[in-house]
Amino acid sequence: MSSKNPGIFFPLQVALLLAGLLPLFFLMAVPAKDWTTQIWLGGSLFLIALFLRFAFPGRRWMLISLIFISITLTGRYAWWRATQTLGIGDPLIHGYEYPFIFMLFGAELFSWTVTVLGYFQSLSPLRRKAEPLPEDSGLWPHVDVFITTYNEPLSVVRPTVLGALNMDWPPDKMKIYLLDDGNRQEFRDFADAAGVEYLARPERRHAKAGNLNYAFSRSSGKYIAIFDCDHIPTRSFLQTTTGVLEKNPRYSFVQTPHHFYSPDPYERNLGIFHDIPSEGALFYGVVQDGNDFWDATTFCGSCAVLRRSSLEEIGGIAVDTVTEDAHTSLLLHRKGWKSAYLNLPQAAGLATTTLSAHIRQRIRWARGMIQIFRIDNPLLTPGLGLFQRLCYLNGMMHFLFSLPRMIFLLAPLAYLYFGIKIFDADAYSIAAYAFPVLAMALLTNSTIQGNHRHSFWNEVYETTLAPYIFLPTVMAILTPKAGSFNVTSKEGIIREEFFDSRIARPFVIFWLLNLGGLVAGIYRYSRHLGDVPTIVLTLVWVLHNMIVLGATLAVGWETTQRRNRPRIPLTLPSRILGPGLKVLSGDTEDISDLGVRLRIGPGDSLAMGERLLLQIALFDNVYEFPCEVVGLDEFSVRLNFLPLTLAEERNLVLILYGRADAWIRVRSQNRQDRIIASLGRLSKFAMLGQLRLIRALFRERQAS
Amino acid sequence: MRRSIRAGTKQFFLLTLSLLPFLGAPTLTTADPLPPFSVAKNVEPYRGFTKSFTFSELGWRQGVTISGTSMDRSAFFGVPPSQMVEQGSVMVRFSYIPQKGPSHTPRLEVDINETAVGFLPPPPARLTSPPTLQTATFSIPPYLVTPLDSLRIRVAKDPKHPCDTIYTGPFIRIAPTSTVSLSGIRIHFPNRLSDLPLPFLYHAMTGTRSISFLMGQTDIPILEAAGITASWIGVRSENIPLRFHERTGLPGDPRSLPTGNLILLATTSQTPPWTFLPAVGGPTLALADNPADPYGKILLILGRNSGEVRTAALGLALGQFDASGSVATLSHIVLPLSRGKNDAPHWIDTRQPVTLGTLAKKNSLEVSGTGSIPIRFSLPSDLFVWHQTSFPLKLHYRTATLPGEERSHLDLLLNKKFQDSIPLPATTGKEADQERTVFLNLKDLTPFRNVLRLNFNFRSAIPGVLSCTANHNPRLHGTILGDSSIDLRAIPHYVRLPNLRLVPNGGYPFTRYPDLRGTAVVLPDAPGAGDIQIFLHLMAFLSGETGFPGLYLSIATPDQISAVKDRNLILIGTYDSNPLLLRYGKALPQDSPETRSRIRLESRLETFLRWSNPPPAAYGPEALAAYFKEDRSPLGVMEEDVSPLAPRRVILSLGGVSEQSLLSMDRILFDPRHFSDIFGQVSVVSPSRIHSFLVPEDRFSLGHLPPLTALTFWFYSHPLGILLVILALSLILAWILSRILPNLAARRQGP
Repeated sequence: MSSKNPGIFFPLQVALLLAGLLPLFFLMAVPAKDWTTQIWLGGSLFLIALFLRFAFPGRRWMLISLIFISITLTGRYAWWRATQTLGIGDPLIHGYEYPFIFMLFGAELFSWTVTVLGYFQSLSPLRRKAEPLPEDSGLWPHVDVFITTYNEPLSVVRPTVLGALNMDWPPDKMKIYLLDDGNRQEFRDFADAAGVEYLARPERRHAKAGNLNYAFSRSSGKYIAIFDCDHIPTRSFLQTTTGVLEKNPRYSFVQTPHHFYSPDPYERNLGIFHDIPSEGALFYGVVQDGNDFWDATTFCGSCAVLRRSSLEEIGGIAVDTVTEDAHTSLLLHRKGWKSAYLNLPQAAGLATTTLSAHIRQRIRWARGMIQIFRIDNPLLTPGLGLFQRLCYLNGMMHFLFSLPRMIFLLAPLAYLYFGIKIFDADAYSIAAYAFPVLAMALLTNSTIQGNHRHSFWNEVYETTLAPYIFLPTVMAILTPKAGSFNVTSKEGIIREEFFDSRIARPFVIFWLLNLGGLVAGIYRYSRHLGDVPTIVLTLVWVLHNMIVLGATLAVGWETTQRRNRPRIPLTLPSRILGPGLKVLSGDTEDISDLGVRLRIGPGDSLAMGERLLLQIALFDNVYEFPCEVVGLDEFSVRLNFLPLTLAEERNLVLILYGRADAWIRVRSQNRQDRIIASLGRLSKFAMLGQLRLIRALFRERQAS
Repeated sequence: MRRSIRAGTKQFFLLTLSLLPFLGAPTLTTADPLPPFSVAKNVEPYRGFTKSFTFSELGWRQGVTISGTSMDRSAFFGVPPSQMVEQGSVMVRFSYIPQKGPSHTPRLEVDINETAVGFLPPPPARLTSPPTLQTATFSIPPYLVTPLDSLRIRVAKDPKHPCDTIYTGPFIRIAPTSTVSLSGIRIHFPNRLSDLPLPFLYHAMTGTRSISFLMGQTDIPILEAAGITASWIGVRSENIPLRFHERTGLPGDPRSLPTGNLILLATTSQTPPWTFLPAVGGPTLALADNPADPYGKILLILGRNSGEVRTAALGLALGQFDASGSVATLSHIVLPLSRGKNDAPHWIDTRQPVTLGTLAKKNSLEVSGTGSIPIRFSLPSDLFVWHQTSFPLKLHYRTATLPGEERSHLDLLLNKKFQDSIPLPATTGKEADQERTVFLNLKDLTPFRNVLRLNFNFRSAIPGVLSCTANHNPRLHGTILGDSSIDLRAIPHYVRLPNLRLVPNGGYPFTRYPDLRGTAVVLPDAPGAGDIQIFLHLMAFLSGETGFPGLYLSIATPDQISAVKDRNLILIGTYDSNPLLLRYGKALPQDSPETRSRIRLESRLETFLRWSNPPPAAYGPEALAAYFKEDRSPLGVMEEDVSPLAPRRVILSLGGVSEQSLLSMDRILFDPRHFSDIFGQVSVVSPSRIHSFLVPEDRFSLGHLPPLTALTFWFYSHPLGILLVILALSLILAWILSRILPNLAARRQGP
């Protein structure tokens, strides 16, 4: 990047920056006299950082100085760990202890690297604004809209197609393609009825990438908008996104966030939808904006607009990996194409319903990213700028977290069970170095991520995946070419609460092992078997592990999902026209594909089963839907839609999903992170998860 | 130590030759006629001697425990050549330790000079708990006793079954109260100056050597002469334990002199008209019989005035006297050029690589079979061993291992800390030379005394059953060649003072110039025996560390201090007798507001801000104040402070609460067992031990560090500096970045 734009650096400032970094590196290597000095130093810096954080909220320099303090403390810890605590040449360390010492060190090394890369990646989120299009819509470009499907039911695909039709774009400049790899007649009929193109391939090589490339060669628009079959665009999608590409001819694609209007498994199973940021919020809220700053936006396979000419240059969507999207953006960047990320949710989709589906999806991502790492290693592949390389590296390294995470979950047990040393240092020193580093990283990440990811949740997310993505990532490292694409299932009804014991088994095992560690630690403490500070330190560690595992277990408890179409809270003025010209006015409370809840004043007489006409006003239009009363109470009435015509259905999609601001307000509702409160909440879920587990284990025994 | 024993043995050998007729050996005809000597017939009552050493005195303070891993223990004792042993016995008190599991109990053999004098009786059929203490006494044939004798207790291997398994756990405990007793007659031998430092020092002897000084008067030149004499003894003592006794004033009747060996310093005007005194026509050295003890000697250091006495002492220390007779008058002495910084004979010169051949005798660098080669060396105390680097040891060694046996290795330990293990390849019959450079951890060096141990660990490919006999396989051989070298050139000389730890370790900074050119001792106007004894002991100690006598030592009284203010000062006395102790000392050994204000208790703010690393709470000024508060009745205080009289000089105060307590301090301060308790700035000496404290105050440094090391050390010593620089840089860099990033962002969004 710097090589391409040498003019934008102020040489003096850069020289100062580099000159200032050297002393920081030097200070990382200055040893502390003893652990009290180190805890004093780390603790003081943390307290000062805490002061800066609250005295100057939102300032960019505050955030960056927090990053520098955190990096310096981490560097001091890393230097000390690497030079003093590995037991090299220490005759008191047994040969069999070295693998444990080095495994833990390796895991820590990984987490330091990812932390620092993460800081760097989100150093300066770009927060790009949408670019206006020409006044004259006659000058707007031709756009092909690709909606890909394979095995999803038509009910999922219908609103997406209708939503695409609803997009405000000159009809003669927009062509919508339904790309059905399932080759289903039902879909062909629907496409005909809706008036969109239907494409089905004779074969299904390269899965989604192949499907897109097939359509790519059979279309001709200047831009291609790509949607997964469940991502319903708002009416403003094209107007918002194409401006960037029109303005910058060297821009290859613009990506928008994937917004989910249904809870992900964490949110649903813990009952925290809209209470905490969803799992994807960090990536689309911070990381992609950060990537965009370094011109390293990742294409995410959906809700994006691509320039046909750029795709032609790389031979279409990449097909070598199972994450064709990220690989495609890497290839585009290599060719010198630029990219943009527009942090405006202009489409919304369904989150994965069950934890197992979520895990399957992440296995694919992890495998794909590792495949790219092996096939087109971002550090070695030609054509990328330094900062792009680092962003891609972080994106891929992130998916190597499984082994380090499992090491962190098990490492203290080696000591508590067998007395194996996992570091060659006294517990006071380890604590004095590590705790300020951890606290500082928490504070810094909390400041960076704010309302996009709450503290400690990262560990829950990673722990959930760790045992499952370990083998796939190893396989991907060993044989990057192998493996097939699996489609993420997004729809489902869970009729009864159940503990997914199959998916939870590894966490149960980890939890039981840590519980054993707790017992072993207390036994060691009471019998003075070993050094008391080390026992206490490892016990604290085990307790932390149990909180994370407990919360993970709570996620494994699949709660009921009664509606298969989620309700969207939405207040719009509406009227009911009943038989006998009965007119009632009210506001909608929530709307779904199936029905609507209306707030209507008391004294209104409606009967169950009564058929009515519902009018909903949106801007200057009034849309009508035939309905039936299915529920009544004092303040509200619940209506189900009677079978709708395609035009009515399209209007419903417009009201539900098509509003330009449909998803923007929802996202901004997330609360700011509070570290201690987050830990408290997590502990609560941990208790819940552990109780659920004990109950489930008990029930299982009774059953057998 | 080894060297000293050898030197002593050689001297003894010459003496023994001269004594051979009395030892009943066959008459030797020698080319040189033996000098005349006589045994005084009228002194029979003194003639006999009896002495006994407990095992504890022989070095086995905790007794000896024999186990399967420690089956062979040796100790040494000696008899001076002026004594002839006629009877001896060794009495062993021991107890068997009950064992678990089957085994056979090995026989324990007691050897004197590698000759068995007996076997310990086998254990009783049933061992009781606690085990009963048994006693066995073996007589030592007098002909076995030599000036240096070894006592060895070992498991006697059954020659028919050398591989019998033996308990690995301890099975017999030998009490430290076991004794070796010797009795015999004393021999009178002639007064020859060439015998010096005999009879005052005899290295092979066990126990503390008492050196008695007699002074006519304690004026400054005579005290200096005594100090120089003591430092001469220190140089020759090679770290054997000494104790000094002093008496001022000479009795009229020579028979009321103390018995034993004496050193007498006096001017002619101070000496009574004793008949045995030689004529003094200038600085004179003489050796004479002690009129009070015909088997004792008096070393006379005389002169017509005290200056000549001092000259005589210098001559003694420099060896510039005619040693052929019993009296030597020194016409003139030549003072050597003053020694440079750290130029002490005992210290390694770090300006060039030091070959191991110069640190150890050639034959001590060899082992046959598995064995250990210790290499002892003393470093200048100001070597900066703080930073975490290493220094090279270039090893050149020759080994003979067994063909096809690749498991042998050479282990390196520095001050008992493991450094490296070098595999020794198989050799085919012939010896093979190898060279290898090993890096040793600098932080494992100690400021002064160091031991590098090279352990040849040979394996033999013989099956396990027989390997117990293979340890001493003559084909297994290891030699460290003399041109192997340690290279300490890269290590800077830099030290922060005051630091009491360097006093017992090298006597720094007083020995920085080994001839004590930069040191002055301030003694009270009328020094008592306590003051002088501690002074003499200190002089002997300092010179023992350097190997060079303190020729340029200077002594002053408290009111003459301005003459020596440019030197490092050593103040000795009680708080009454030496007013300077009150003026320059801080930690007065009592709890008073005065003391507390002097030792400047830590302020909470300073501790909180950590401009410098605070001392550990247990050794800080608060702890010192608390120590004085609990009435522990200390004997006195040793304290080192920055000298206010000259830049970069220290004042070492040795203050006793009374003259008597100075005598006790002398005993404790110079006991090597307490050396590790001396550190920081204040050491409080109590009757049983020493408590040291770190009292933050001004420091200064001697020497230079390379810039990067200096910077690292500065930050290490000033944690607040680390904090402030990290904080400042973080803010500055953040500010710069927050200026650069928006520009970059604007570029990203621009056309």
